[in-house]
Amino acid sequence: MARSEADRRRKVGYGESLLRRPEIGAFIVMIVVLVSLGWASGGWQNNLNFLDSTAFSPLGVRNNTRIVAQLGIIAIGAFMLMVAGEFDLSIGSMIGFAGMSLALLLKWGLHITIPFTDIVLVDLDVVPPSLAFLLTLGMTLAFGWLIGNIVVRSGLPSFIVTLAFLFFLRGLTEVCYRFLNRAPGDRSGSTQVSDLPDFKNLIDLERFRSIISYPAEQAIGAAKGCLSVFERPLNNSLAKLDNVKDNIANLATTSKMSPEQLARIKELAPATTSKEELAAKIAEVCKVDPNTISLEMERVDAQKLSADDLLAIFSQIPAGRAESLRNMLEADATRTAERLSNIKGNTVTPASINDIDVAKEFFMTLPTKNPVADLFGGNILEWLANWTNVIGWNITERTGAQWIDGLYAVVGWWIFVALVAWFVMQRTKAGNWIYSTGGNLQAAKANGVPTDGVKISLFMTTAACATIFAATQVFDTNSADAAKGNLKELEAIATAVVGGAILTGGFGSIWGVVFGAIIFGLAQNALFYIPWLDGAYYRMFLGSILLAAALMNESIRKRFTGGI
Amino acid sequence: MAAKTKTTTTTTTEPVIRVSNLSKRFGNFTALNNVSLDVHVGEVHALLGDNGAGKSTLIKTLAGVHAPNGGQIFIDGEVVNFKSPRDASEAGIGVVYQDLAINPLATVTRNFFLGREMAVGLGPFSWMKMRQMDRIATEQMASIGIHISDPEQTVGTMSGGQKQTLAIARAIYFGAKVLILDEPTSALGQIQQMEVLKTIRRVQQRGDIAIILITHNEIHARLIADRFTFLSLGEVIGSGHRDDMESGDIRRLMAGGAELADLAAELAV
Repeated sequence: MARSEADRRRKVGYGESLLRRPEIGAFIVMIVVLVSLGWASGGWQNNLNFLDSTAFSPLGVRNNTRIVAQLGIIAIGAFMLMVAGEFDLSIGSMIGFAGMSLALLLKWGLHITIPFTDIVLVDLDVVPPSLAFLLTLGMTLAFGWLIGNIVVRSGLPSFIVTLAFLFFLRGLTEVCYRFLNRAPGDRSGSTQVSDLPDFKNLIDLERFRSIISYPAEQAIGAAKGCLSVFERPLNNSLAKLDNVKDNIANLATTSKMSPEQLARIKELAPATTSKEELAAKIAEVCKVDPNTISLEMERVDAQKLSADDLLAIFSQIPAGRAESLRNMLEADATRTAERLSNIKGNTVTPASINDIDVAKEFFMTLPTKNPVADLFGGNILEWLANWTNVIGWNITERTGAQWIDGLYAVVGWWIFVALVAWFVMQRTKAGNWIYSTGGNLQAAKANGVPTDGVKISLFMTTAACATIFAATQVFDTNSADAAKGNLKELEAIATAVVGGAILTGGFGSIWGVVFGAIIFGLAQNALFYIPWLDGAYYRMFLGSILLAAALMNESIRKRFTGGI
Repeated sequence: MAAKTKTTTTTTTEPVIRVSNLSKRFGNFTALNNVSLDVHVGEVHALLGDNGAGKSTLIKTLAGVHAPNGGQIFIDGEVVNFKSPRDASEAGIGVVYQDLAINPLATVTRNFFLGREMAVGLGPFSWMKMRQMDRIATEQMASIGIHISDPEQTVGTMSGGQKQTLAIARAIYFGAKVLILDEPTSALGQIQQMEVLKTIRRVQQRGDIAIILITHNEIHARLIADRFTFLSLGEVIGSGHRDDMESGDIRRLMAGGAELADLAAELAV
């Protein structure tokens, strides 16, 4: 049989085909970074076991994976867009914008009046985390849609269009803080929000309303600290001291104040100058009657209730439930004591577990009132953290107790986004359209691929990734800042390049981006584990890896295109 | 000066595509003037002409890119009116352009099914049936003579002839009754040119497809075409069946009807 063109393609084995995959470079660098970070942070002294080091201690893993995941989420958005042949420099500013939007909605609620009229369109003192996220996502998606439309309709390079939005969105974020994040007397608002309630850990104690008492001396503290439904309208009423009357009236409807109490507060409120003072006045006037307020409390605060309240609550826990909680706590205490004895060399008796401890533990098992906040800012893999503790890992040296409770929720989001992106890119029609839009735009158009739609939806995807990033940050730290996300767009693009994305589009793999995020995330966090290292080294490293990756991608591209 | 052509041999079958007195003007420039053309199933119809003769305008009109200013296009005897390339493609006109409309960075299968992926589910996020698509792409290319070893191979690594075959196989698979090939042998090496011609022959031998071959190359046209139409300055200056045409006629008509002998004489001075 005559030789044919196909015979010139050498068959490669499984091993070699693995070595020829585009993400192999990123994979090797990732291994090198993992091992050297482990060695440099203590593994070298511990029989060269890189896992036996501060960087890979349970806490190290928890902190590292958070940085890696944050970078990973936006890098995947940037990567998909680069595969379609476009760029997004507005990611960082979009993070800042989304964080601002979330924090301001959560702190001040949503009040919209038609300008120059008294017509109120929306008047929400309390915006729940789920609604805040949806509203924010709606706005960022709209910006992504706008950017995408400008790019495909004008034919301008996305570099310029998104650079414009980098400045515009950052400016808009700051303007919104200045304009919206302020009490009435202030000339301009602060560019940060740092006093949001810990939404993910708010629990509902309504069912214990009748048994919790509020001794007079605790009233102010309780009013201040634990009742967030109380606290948030207070923020608002302070924001508008001129029309405090309306807000106090609102407060009255949510808290069922008596007309006399309301009249008294109206009298006192104008003279107050701080949130705490107003809270104290309200607590005083209302005598913080538990019947006037909804009992929503942060977990930690709930644990600080008086011993009487805790005992009262304990009596309400079903017997079987209380028994299993007690058994669990006793097992923990025994295990901790054994470990501590081993560490210290003398026998430590296990702490005894009383009813109050059980009641406190009970609060830890109550479901959160804000599952959305928990989904973004809470912990994941708690069962794994518990299990690793039981099998003898994840233990603090000092107390013998469990070290970490789980990983940051952002890690789960990263894995989720990466899996979705992988399925979309490799297995769906949309993926084929994305690759072809970047690989050969004219060919994609000629074959009926809606290339404009592909690009616009990818600009919206990067905006959504930025919003997820911001939500995980806001609900984790309960704070936001106008400078959040600064320069993140460049890190995201660098990570995408390490993942094999080429600037002309059409190529790259999600696995590469995952490896890239691990490389840069670990390198960025390394200075916490290696004392002599400072941030400058990280940037040198980032620069060198980026250049090496870009050169390698170019050679891979040539190999795949036959050298064109 | 109109060229004299010998009478064409009559065919019994109805032409798959008949172009009747087609005209296309861009402003006051007449790109096509009263062009008529019949293409029969199982035949290769070579469309020849010098640069600027109107070949590109003609195929773009047939492909639904341009709307004609006059005249009609019949497919299987019925008048068609294309508003977009999609209309033309649905009516069974498959065009393989010179740039082939392929993505060099993607695999054979992904290119083969680009924009028409086989998938389960609705909308853009439906699941592609990769294995089935791999198998069909391999089979379809094999059926017209190119055996690819690996459907996961990126198209950029294939030879020009293989790419050409991919584009042809794709057009046929997606229902082309009329296959329009735009200069398929230009920019290829000798051996690959022959490969492509063999591919065209195999498509012809299927017997269910009419092929319009646009080419500059008289030798290729003579090797493979059953029928010729010559365009010059937007008009048909001659046409005929292979059996009825002499090599000299073809060469003369390709040059737009100018007497090559005169030119030769001029150059010899």
